[in-house]
Amino acid sequence: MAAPPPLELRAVAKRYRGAEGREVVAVDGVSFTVRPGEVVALLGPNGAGKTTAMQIALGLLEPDAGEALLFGLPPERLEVRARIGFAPDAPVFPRQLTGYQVLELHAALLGIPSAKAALRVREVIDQLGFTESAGRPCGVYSKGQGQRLGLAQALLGEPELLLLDEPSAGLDPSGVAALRALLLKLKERKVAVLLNSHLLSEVERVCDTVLFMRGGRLLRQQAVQGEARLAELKLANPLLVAARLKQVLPDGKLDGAMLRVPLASDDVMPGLVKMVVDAGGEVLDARMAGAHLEQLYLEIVEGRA
Amino acid sequence: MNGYGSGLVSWPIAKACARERLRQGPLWILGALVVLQGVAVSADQAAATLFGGAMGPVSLLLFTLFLGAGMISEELENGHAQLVLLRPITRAEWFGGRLAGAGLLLLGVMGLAWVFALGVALKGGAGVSLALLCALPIAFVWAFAWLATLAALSVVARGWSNTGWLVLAVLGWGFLYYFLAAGNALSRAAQRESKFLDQAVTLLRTIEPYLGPRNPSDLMSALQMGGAADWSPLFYDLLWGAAAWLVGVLLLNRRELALRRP
Repeated sequence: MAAPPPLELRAVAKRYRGAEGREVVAVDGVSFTVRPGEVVALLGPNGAGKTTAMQIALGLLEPDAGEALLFGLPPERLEVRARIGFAPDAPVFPRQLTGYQVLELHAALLGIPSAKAALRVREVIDQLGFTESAGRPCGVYSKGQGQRLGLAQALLGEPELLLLDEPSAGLDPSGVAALRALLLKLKERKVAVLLNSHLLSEVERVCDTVLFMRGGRLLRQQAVQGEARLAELKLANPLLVAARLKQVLPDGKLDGAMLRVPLASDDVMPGLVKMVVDAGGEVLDARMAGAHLEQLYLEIVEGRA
Repeated sequence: MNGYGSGLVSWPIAKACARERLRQGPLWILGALVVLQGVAVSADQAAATLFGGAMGPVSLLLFTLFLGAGMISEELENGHAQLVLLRPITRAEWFGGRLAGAGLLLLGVMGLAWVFALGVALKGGAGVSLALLCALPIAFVWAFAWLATLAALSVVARGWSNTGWLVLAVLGWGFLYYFLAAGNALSRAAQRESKFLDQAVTLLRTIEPYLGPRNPSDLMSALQMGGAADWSPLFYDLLWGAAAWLVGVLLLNRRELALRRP
C-alpha cells in the first residue's frame, strides 16, 4: 500500500463571523494534495483564504467541514508534528530570548539530543546566514532577521513537510536567493513544500504546481512549466492566419491582433517569429511580456484577458 | 506508544519561561524585596515574620503578581505559542511548562530569602525550628496557588490584564466587604439594626477565606508559638493551585490557536 501523502486537504470549509455580524467565507470546499518532493504554491490576492487553508492544514484552525490530513493522520496527532516544519508570516519570538536560545528550545521540543542539537542549531544558523544576530535578543531583530529565524526553526527538525507562509516577506535580495536555493535543495531531498507567496517570479522558479485561490475557493490547479515566459507578437493579419497558427502553435492564444505564446526561454523568440512568418503571419511587433505565471494569475484570479 | 505527550510539564518550556522572566528588570527589584525579608527577620520570630506578619505576604504577592503577568497570553498573542504547539507537545504540557518555569523562579527567590532567615536565626542563637523549616513550603504553596490562578486567567485575558483583573477582583471584594461592614456598624450605633446588612456581613465573612488561596500567616504564627496548628489553609491552597492549573489547561484546550482572521 502506498504511503499517504504528506499533506491532504479534503473539501475543507471555514466561515467566520466578521464585522457587523456578517458571515465571511474564508475557505470554501478546498481540496488539494502535496506529495513528497513536490513544491506547491498557493496564489491569490489578500483575503483569498491562503493562510486560512494553511492554518487548517496545521490544525491551528478547526474546519467547519472537510478534513486535513498530515501523512494520513489528523494534524492534532503528536507523531505527525515531529515530521513537519512551519514558518509563519512575520514570526514573533520571545523578546528576551536570543535567536540561539529560541532554536535550542525548539530542538529540545523536537526531542533532538542536546549534543546533536547544538550542531544542528549551528548548521541552520549558517545555512540561513544570520550568525551575527543569533546571539542577540529577538526583541531587537529586524523583520528580515525574524523571518530568517522563523525559517531556521522550521528547518531545524529536518521536516518531511514544510509549510511556508510568505517566507520571502522582509528578506533582502540575497535572502530571497538563499531561500530559493534552499527550496530547490529541499525538493531534491524529496521534502514536500506548501508555499504561500506573492512573489510570482520566485514561485515560477521553484514550484511544481500552483493553486490559484480567490474568495476562499480554489479556482484552478496548474502545473508550472519551469521558468516559462510569455511572448507577445502583434500581427497585421490575425484573421487570415488564425486557423494555421492554431495548427502550428497549439499553446498560442490569439487575442485580437495579439498572439501570446508561452516560451521556455527568451532564446526561442527568433524561432517563434520565423514560425509565424512561415505560417503567413505579418509580424508588426514582437516582445517578451511578463512571466507566464503572471499572465495566468491575471487571467484566472483577476479575470483579465 | 510513541512517548509524546506523556507528561504534565514540558521542561524545555519551563527553562525558556524562566529565562524570559529572568531578563525582566522590575522582577529583579521585586525579587530583591522578597529576599530582603529574609535578612530583616528577627532571630526568635523568623518563621512567623519571614513570609507572614503584616508586611511579609505583600512583597511576595507583588512579586508573584508581576511574575504571572501575561504568562500565557503574551505567547498566545505574539504567535510563538502557535509555533511551539506545532511541536510534539500537548497544550497541557506547554501550560504546565510555563507555570513550572515561573514557579521555579518563585521558589528560587523564596528559597534565597529563607536561607538568609535561617542564617539570621542561627546567628541569633534561636536555632532551626520546625516552624522555620515549614515556613518555605507553606508560603510557597500559597504563592504558587496565586501564580496558578494568574496563569489560568492569562489564558483568557489579554496581555497583562490577568494581573489587573485579579487585583480589581480583590479590591472589589474588599470594598464590598468593608462597605457593608461599615454600614452594619453604623446602623448598630444608631440603634437601627438592619437584618439584611447583618446577614450579608455574616455571609461575606463566612465565604471570605475561601475566595482565593488562604493566607498562611496564622498557621506560621501558630507553628512559631508551638501551639496547635490548623493545617487546613495549606491543604486548601494545594487544592486551589491544582484546580487553577486544571482550569487553565481546560480553557487552553478550548481555545482556537490561529491568530489572523480574513
